[in-house]
Amino acid sequence: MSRSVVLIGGPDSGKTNYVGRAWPALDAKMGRLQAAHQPTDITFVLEVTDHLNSGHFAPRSELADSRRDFEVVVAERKGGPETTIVIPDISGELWLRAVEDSEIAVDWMDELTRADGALLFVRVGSDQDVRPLDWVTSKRMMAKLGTPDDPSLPTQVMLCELLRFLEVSLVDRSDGSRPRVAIVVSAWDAVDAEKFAAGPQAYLEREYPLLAGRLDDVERLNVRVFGLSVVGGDLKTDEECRDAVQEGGLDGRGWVSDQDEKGLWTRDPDLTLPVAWVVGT
Amino acid sequence: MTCDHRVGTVGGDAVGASHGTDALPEADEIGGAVLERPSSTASFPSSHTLGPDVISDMMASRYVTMVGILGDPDSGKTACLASIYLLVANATLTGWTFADSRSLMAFEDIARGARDWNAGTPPDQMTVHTEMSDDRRPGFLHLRLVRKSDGRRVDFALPDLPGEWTTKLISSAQAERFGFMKSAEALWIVVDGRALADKERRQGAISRVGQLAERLKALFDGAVPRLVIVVTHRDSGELAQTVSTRLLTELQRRDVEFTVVQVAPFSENNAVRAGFGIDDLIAATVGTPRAAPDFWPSISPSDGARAYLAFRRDR
Repeated sequence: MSRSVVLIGGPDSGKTNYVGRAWPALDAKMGRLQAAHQPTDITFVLEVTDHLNSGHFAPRSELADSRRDFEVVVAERKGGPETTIVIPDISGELWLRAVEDSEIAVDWMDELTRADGALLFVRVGSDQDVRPLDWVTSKRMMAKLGTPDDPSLPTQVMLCELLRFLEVSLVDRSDGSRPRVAIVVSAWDAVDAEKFAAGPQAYLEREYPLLAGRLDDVERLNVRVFGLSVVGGDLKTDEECRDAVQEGGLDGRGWVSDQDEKGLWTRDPDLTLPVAWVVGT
Repeated sequence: MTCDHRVGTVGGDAVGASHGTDALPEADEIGGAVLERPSSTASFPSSHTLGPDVISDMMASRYVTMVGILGDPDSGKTACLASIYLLVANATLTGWTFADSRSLMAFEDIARGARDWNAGTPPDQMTVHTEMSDDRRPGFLHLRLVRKSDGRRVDFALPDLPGEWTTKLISSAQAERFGFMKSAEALWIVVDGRALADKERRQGAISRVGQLAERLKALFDGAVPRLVIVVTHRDSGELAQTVSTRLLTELQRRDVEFTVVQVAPFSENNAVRAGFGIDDLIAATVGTPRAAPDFWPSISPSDGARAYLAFRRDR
């Protein structure tokens, strides 16, 4: 059985680092999903994993047309039914261009219609984040700085449009249920304890009200929000985290924030959780 | 026969020569492809301005509140739409939150109209002048909002029309382009508040509102939907009582009911926040829901009364 999960998100949203961290998690065979076999071609994920192991995040892909697929056979338990998961990692610049033009290459559209679900990424504190125009603050800013020739699309508008693309392109699951989309808020280790306790959904409501409104209104998709930290800290600024990765590797590092039965947001060390939920029964 | 664009023929003759590529062997054959196949793309449904057919389909699937938006050029119609969008985009529209928009990119386009600042000086107009690609078909914006007080979801279809349409409706009764307004639940007549504050322009502006109301009565065969007079540029000053009274007189004598809402889509005045009154405008547009009648009122039967046949006869 073959399933496809599409990773989607704007530039610098954390997609590639997640793919690079998901492979060691699958290979460790400790999570909900386990690698059943070593994939034939792991060049791409090894490159990213090497970056993480060296104490650095993978650099942003600057090539808008670059596309790297990671294909792995997984099982929910050892010896259990196997599923081939294909994770196409398409650059954020390409998605941004797709939103601006309402167009995408035919093979990528095919990938979307073939997919069983998707992970939509948004990153806390990204320097690529574009805030919505605000007439009060913008007025002061524009008076001082003037206006750029081609102002960027606000991040929340791009995310809403990507969600709409998923709505119109994903097909129902084989059991007739709605396709699943995991909203992954990456760099979730960057928020303080109060924001962590409130959860990533509350973060989206505050930072991206248009996206939060859409998530609350969407009927066509089954949506669930996760927080994500691929290594448990910021390798750029957190020296302790960087040293720990360089000394001890990725094992035991990173977590997914999920809501338990009582509604509390807790850390789950299983980094396969978002993908497992999207492809799971 | 030569053609610079012919595949596999770089500066040479195409017929009888074998310069083809592996990908396109037929290129060297007579009648074969002469141009490389362009990379094909797939399109998503656009979220720019929607056509009447899209709105019509939407109205067939769910209840949509159609709003007719009228007003002279530069009265502030587009600014009102941009202000609604920017308020929900920043979660600052009192009492309402965003749920969806099928025309998100169109909203983004009009919100970005306020771009051309001249050396720190705001432009005369914060939004660009509305022009239609098809001068006969209105372009619509869609917005679904959720009312916080009761969770009610309201879909708005908001036409962004050039002011010239209103001008021609007033001056020469050119109403054929306003056919879509027959299904409008509310009408906004947008009036430039600065004109109402200016003694020289005041009476003319009020007179035009009256003339427009008369045209609307004819368009709707006397049954004009909920009418909202939207007075813009509240940041320039509050509507004077005398002007308000004069407006009331003008519309009352035409037997038209209306509500006045003062708004400041933008603000040049620190004492008046940008977006002032927009929440009131939304509330006036949605209106107060009518009280639901008692579906099956209990009555005490009396002997000899044919209660069933008389049911609801008094309503």
